Amino acid sequence: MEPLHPDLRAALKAAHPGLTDAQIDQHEELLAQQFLLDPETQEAETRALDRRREQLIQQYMPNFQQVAQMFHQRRAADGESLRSP
Amino acid sequence: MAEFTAVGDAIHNDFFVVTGSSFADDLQLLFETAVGTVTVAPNVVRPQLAFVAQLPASVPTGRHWLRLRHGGTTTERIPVEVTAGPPYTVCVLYSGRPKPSPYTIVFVANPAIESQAGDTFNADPVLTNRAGYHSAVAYCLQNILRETEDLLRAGGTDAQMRFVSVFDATLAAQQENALAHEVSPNIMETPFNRLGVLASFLTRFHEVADVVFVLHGSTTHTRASAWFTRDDNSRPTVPFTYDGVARQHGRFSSIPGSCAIPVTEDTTAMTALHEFGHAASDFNNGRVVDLYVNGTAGGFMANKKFRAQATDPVPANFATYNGTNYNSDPNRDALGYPATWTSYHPQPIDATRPNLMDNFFLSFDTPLRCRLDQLTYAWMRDRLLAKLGR
Repeated sequence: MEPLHPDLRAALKAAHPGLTDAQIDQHEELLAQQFLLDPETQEAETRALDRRREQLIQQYMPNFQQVAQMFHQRRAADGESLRSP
Repeated sequence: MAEFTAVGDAIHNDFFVVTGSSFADDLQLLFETAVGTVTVAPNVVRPQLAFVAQLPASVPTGRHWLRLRHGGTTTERIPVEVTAGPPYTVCVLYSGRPKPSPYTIVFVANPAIESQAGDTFNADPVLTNRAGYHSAVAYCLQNILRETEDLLRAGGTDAQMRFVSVFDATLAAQQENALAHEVSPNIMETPFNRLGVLASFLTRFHEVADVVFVLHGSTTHTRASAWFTRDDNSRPTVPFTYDGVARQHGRFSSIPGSCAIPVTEDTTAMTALHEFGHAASDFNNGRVVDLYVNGTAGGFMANKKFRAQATDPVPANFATYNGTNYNSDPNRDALGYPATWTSYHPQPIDATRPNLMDNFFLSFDTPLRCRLDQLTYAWMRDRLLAKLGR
């Protein structure tokens, strides 16, 4: 999975006062764990990890998707401009 | 005599590729007519190919003479007929070594997106963004073939690989065409729990892939991810030993490796090659995993091990692969292992920058210069050579 950009981490913390690096790291660990499971034989474990992640998101970073979306749009635009002559 | 060949037809806004040998990085395509010459700079150049993501409409339709200018010389000319379209659905960008089963990387414009719950399938916006798709293919090719990490191109091995694009705007938003699945909060993955759909999808286009890049147009689920290959070890394999354990690099796969990447991917990131690193590794005989998390032990990971306690020193020797000892990375490049981590990594090729499978965004200069570690590089090269040699 694509690593978490440090600026997105900072944006998440800015958008969610009180959010800690440890909570973000916990989410990252669960996510990485999910992508090591066998999707054909470990669906129940995957769903369980999904639920734990969802709880973390709802509790500590409910606006994760919106923050990430804005961040991605800005990075994509910056990347294009960096690549252009 | 011209030293190059045009691949397929020259169509406005479609891919255009010329193949040959000893192409220099400054290569330009000169489209000549009686009234003038239009110069086109390719997006990606390798010694054996020059790739144009979209042939510009500034090249007039009709008969042209095409020359290449590179390395201070200009080639002889070949005739090329430029047409206005329409672009092809399936485009062989590079045919690779002529053989029955060449190592094949396929880029697909994802037709449909499966919701997280798996109960709805929506048309992927990429199907109405052909220009964005072509740019994303160019980004991926640049990323996997041209940046500092030479995993695919060392020794010219990329010249043996087949590259194909599939863009079919006629496909309906239904399960059999859903190659991308949303994962909360912002991740896109290739189809969870039904990875076989990729192979069956490509069969419709008469393609068999080793790795599939699913390029999608979601604006909400833009974090790229990958699923490992599943080798078919009932077919020929190449044996290897890892820490004394006999394993196999499969020459064939039963399920191709796959990754989902947004067409809006940040082109200054190493995402395409990072995801390829996961996708080209094998679920059972060696997964190449993310190094930016501590993780948990389980299954065979080629590039990560665990200490009993976080306070234990990182062992000097990481692993013995095919009789060669590979050292550990005592410092996690310049990043440092967090005090709570028990995991550790093999010694990097470039100790000044993060490992390509780690958080490359933390590079002090540009992620584009990040490389793999020494062990994963050797292991993955052997794996690629096993498949190239089938």
